[in-house]
Amino acid sequence: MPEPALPKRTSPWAYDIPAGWRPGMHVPARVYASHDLLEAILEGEAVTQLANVATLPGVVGRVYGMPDMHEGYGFPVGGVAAMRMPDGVVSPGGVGFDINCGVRLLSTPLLRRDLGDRAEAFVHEISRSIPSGTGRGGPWRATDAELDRVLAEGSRFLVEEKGFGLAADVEHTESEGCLPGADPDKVSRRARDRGRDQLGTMGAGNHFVEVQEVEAVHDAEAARAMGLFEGQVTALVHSGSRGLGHQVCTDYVRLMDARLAERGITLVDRQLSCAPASSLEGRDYLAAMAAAANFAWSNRQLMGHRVRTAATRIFPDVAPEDVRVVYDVAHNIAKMERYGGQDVCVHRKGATRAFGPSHPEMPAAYRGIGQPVFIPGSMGTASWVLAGLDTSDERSWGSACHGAGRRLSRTAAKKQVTGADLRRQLEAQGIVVRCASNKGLAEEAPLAYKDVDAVAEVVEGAGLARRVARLRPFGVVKG
Amino acid sequence: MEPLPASARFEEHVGELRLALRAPTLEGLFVEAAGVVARECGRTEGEPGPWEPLRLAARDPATLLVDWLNELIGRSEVEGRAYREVRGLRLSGAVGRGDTVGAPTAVAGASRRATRSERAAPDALPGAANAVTVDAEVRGSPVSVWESALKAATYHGLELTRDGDGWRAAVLFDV
Repeated sequence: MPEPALPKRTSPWAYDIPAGWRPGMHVPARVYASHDLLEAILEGEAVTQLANVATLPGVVGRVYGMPDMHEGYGFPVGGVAAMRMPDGVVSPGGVGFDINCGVRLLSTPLLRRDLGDRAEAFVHEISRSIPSGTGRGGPWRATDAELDRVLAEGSRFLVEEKGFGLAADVEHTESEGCLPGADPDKVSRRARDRGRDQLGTMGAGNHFVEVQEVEAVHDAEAARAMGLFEGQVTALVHSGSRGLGHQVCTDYVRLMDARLAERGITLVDRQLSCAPASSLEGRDYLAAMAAAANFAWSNRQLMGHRVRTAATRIFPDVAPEDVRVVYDVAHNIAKMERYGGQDVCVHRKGATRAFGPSHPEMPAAYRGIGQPVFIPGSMGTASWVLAGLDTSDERSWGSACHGAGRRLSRTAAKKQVTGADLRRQLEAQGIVVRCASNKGLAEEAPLAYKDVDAVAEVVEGAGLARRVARLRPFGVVKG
Repeated sequence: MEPLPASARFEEHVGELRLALRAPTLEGLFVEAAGVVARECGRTEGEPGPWEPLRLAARDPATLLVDWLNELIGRSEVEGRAYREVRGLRLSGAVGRGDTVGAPTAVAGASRRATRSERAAPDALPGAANAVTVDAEVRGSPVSVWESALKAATYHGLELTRDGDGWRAAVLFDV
């Protein structure tokens, strides 16, 4: 059988794959990339995996690959697909194991140039305040009643009932930190027990808290609306739903996989396991996924609160309300949205929402500006803040990418640099590193990732979001 | 010809971890898989806990292997233990090439009353998904410093084959 043709360039930033590219595709696919980024994307199975997504029952329009796309399992990481509601499918694998993994950006009134020696103290205080590492729990072991409230109500519960944050934090969180329809009873005992003591903890892998300086502002109006200015100190928090979310995904992939035959669903990849959203297991998964998403928003709420507390402790002139949440976005989630009069369930696996200035679901501060979008790079390079564009609705189901995207495996990264060497290199660049594991540090080395500037350029060129500010790290806390 | 010894090694994957397993018997493969999960947990200290029953059912042996791995990953994380010891492992039902190994056995504690959350959990699989079962007892030791990056085993690219040397499997983990 001949090899499928390569994706065809149809605009400076888009490569198209027709619906006939592989048997069973219901819709075409599009990858947003530059020539160089596409070359990196083609090194793995990501494009084939994107085409596989286009075979799912009820998929509509087009499936999209973001410029940071890389090979995953089932869905590629950086894949976006919309399923017709109510009869299209929902796929736990299209959300991923770390449900609502996402990022939260906090701004401070501090200037990098004024920090002096206290920069290291600030990073150290954050590392002391936020437990990190695989399987690590935190000091708060939630009771069943507390966990129910977190799962049902999201981050608002932590703010209003526990005092872990400010009301404005919730306003500047996607979906106000609570996905509707969450049902704690659809979350298994095992999942609850895995997450019970993990609220306010980072985890490991690519999760981090990064302390940064706003190096350059590209869009003054949007930066002003987001409270960002050059030289300012910011903190970016990256984590998700920890063991609770992993177990929810495991539970429902297993359940849906077991019922594929009786539903007459044939898949090209079993990790695309799915069920009609209107079916019992489809509804149950959506309710459990929403609960896990609420857990993740609560996790980042508590982590952000600890960053705020660390700032006020190290810098006594800083008041808690001076440390503001710019925004918090999910990048592993399925959401009910409406496009062109059609209700769809948008699966974003390693992709974020990027709603434009006129979208009704927009915090007051960002109306006319666009939803803040964050593209974290790697710990030695930079991260980007962007603002969503209205054109993203028709070009990517209102989505943009979630990071620079891996280009090397963890093993390959460790072959190229040791953790100790990388630590020295980063410190030589003036970056304070707090990471207990040299192995974990090497696995997340900057050389393992694509060029974040190139990725942000494609996102803007493709009309998904526009660049607002570039952030340069000077402190990294990792698990 | 002597069967090859059981072995396990991780292979390259850009985002995740792929595990290649080999063992002379299918039961041995399950034991080897348990050993991988336990080793990844990290160093242990102190006395092992009590033997714990473990029973799972699935539609085929490959699916059962993934479910076995996921059960051990979840149980290890919740209990903070590395389950290095497995005894009395029995596979039953349509195990492969028409072979039937053993027969389903009762497991102590399996009939206890389910809690609210367990009842709500997606535990009850349809009949066809119970074609093969694994029964065993596992014992875990407390992990001093948790190191495991394994979040879950996936069905993506799952392989389980039997050849002249025994059984081989490939499983991709989310990390």
